[in-house]
Amino acid sequence: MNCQQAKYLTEQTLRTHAEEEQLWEHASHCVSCHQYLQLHMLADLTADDELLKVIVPDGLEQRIMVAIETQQQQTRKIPLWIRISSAAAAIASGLLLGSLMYDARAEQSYSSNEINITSSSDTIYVAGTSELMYYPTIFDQGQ
Amino acid sequence: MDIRAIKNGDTKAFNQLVAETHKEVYRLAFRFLSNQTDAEDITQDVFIETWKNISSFREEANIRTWLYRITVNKSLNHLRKHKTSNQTLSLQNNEGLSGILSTPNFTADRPLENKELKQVLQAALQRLPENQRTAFMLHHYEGHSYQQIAEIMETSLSAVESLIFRGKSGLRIILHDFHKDFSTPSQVLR
Repeated sequence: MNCQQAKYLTEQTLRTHAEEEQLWEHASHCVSCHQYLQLHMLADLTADDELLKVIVPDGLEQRIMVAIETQQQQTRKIPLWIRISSAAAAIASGLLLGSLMYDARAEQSYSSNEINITSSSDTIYVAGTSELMYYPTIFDQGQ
Repeated sequence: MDIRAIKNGDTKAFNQLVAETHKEVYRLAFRFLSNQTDAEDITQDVFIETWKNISSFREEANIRTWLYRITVNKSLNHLRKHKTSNQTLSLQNNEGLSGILSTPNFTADRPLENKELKQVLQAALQRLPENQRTAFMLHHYEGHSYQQIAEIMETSLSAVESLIFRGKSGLRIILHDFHKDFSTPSQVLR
């Protein structure tokens, strides 16, 4: 068998037992054909071939479970009653704080402006928050 | 495997799933990445994602198929992110094979050793298009049926057949070219 024949046989997906023996016999003393045969066989490897064996490292299963446990601890579920009562407490606190702040600001605004309106005829009702906005109008009417 | 128990947060049931499938997941990740540390990290990520998203898993499908799909996606994403690193070989140019040719142990005057063949195979696989490589490896190296591969890759059966066929043909051409580059002119034909 020469190299041309060996190359042709190597490229055939199906070979007879005799052809296989001839091919390996040629490859045993022809490095180039041996390498070509080796490389060609790479395309036909399956998981059972020694070359493709993958060794799974020890302790991988434990490592995964530790990671899962850590993950679980980070996202552990809070009971529903705690979540509801916390939300309600937060809303109540917010309303209380908001109302206190509103009162404080209104009082501060009223005392700083010190608007005195005197009317001889009709009574003028002025809302606390409107005082500044309508001050010129009211003042003119008052005059 | 009790999927409902896992959905209810039963870690023992999940541990059973990990015990039964982690080796397959690791092997598949390793086939893509060719690196133990990366394959371990991907395996861990796959199971964390599975644990977090198990509620979205529809039980009519096979949990293994779902795991493989996550593994393939994570492995490919990892490869895309680390395309330029030393551990993986570039898909865009011939660095992979020519790099091997330039290694001092690679000589044309003796049969190739297993370690070298592994290197060549890995480099040749990296030069295949992503979808052909995935289908080819799932079929030839992991022994999955065409139907399973279609489910994992979320494609049709005929597309899988075509991908595997083209993948194998492409691999042969790449290896053939590698032999041409590797051998001295006098050795190629005698």
